[in-house]
Amino acid sequence: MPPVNSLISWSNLAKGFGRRPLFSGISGELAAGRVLVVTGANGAGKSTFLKIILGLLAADVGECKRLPIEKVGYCAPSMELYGDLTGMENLEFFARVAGVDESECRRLLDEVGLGRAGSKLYSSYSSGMKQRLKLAFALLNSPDLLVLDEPTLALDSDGTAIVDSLIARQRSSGGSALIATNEETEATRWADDRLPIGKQAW
Amino acid sequence: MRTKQAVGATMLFSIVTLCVLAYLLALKAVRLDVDAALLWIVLFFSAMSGLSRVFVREEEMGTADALRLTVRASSLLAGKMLFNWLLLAAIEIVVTPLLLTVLGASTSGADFRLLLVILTLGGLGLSSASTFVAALVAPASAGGIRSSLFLVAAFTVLLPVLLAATTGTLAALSPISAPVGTASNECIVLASYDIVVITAAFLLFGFVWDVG
Repeated sequence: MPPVNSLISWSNLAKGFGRRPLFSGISGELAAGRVLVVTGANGAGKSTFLKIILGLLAADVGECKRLPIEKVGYCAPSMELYGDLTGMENLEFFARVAGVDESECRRLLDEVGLGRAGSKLYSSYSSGMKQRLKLAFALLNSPDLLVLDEPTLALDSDGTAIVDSLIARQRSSGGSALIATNEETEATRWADDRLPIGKQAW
Repeated sequence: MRTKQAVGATMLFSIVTLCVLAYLLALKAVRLDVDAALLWIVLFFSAMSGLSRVFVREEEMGTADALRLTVRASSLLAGKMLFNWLLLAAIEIVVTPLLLTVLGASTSGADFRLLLVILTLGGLGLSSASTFVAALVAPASAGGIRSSLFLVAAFTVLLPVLLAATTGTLAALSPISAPVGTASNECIVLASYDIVVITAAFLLFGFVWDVG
């Protein structure tokens, strides 16, 4: 089990693809109620690290211990929603299968600024609109752990402000967050703790 | 959309095959064992054209991660299996009477209740095994490797159900010429196959789906 007050802890994690090592020897922990920002240059392995923490990918070496976290929210560039469903249908589908009250979907769409675009197909969304819907998806079950991989990717200033407020609310509600970013300014705004991986972008 | 694509692909294959057979045979009577074999060949390839894509699209599009984090593996497998079984059942309902008509099969002595049981159990086995094999190979990253894996795995897993279903169909279409007990034996084989495959799928799917 992770140490007391630690939601997730990891030790000596290493991952590579083929013969190319991505990172190695990464140890740390995410404490309950804290925001941990993972930093590093493009290709350093931030997204891969987040996937390992979530259990979506296996590490080559090392150990990751998680407390049983029932509600996890995830938003990442590599994750997509269903292009042949509308924004609202996507949220309703995932709400239904996750056992979440479907009435939350309308509120979440409004919260991420997609209130008027909820009836449009996800495949017709711009990159920024897709990112907003993925943020709404991440918030669907009022997560105890919010995992965001480059959450401001493709977002305008309004969208970035929404991300800031989501992270602030997660912190104030006692939830934890694990966030990967390339931007120093974002890391400074969001981080309670930092985890640098590989070469830094700044 | 996936539903439309799957239904479209499977129905297209079935209808084209039926048209080709109708053109070549022109209602000439064909031996019943050939009828039974052709029926399951058409059902098999119709199923493969749609069912082999189960899970692959989720992996390719990146929606698999969203599903992994929101849906229990067993619920997901149950949903996919149920959809594929219903799709195959719809194909059976359309294809079976059309094929028997096209082939000019004599059904005067046929046991249709037994045929229904064979089609139900055979369809359940075919769709369940295809779904599970598709889940096994979906994480393979390259499309070519994935297709090859599916073919190799599907051949070994699906051959028993196809053999039993074909023999059982022959017995149902021609109960007089079939050896006594053949039909009931094939029903038992199919039911046993279905139980084993579905149980194994639910026991193992979590290991395949949850990769971390």
